[in-house]
Amino acid sequence: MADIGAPVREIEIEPHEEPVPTPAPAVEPALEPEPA
Amino acid sequence: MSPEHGAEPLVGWRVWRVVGDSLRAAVWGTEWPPLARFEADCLDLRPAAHASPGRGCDCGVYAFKRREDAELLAREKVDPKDVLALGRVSLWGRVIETERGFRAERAYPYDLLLLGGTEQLARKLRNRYAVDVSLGLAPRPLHTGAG
Repeated sequence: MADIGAPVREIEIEPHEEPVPTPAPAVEPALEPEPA
Repeated sequence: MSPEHGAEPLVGWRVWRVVGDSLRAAVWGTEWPPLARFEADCLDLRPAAHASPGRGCDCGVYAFKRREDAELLAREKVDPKDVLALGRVSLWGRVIETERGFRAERAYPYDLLLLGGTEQLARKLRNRYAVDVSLGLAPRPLHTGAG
């Protein structure tokens, strides 16, 4: 257990958005142009 | 101690052990899941089950206020075969601030400095956890020799 000292205060933090990244959306492969 | 309220996550410093391409707590070895918040859980059943971090308990997600303290822990925990990650961590939910750090209910890495790893491993961690990962030198152990 790391020594972080004695408690000083207690805080309740409710962020508007949780700081957890969301997975990037899968990228659809670009369609090959049809040969002329 | 009545809680204050805030809307911005706090930021502290931590050390993780890197096992494969996963982050594990340096002290307890618990795995930190990618792309999901890490939630504290108290394993001490003596005072009865309670929400973590408990006021009369030592549970919670630990972080230091100062980078130097996290670096010192990295040097204490270093083993030549270990790859470590030093970094900042976002903390939210119920947080108990202490003299030198925090015990929090929820956390997620903010950025990482890989100590002793490779660029390939840094890229894997960057992709899995979706945070900035840079490369640093392996920490110098505090204790060397057989004594």
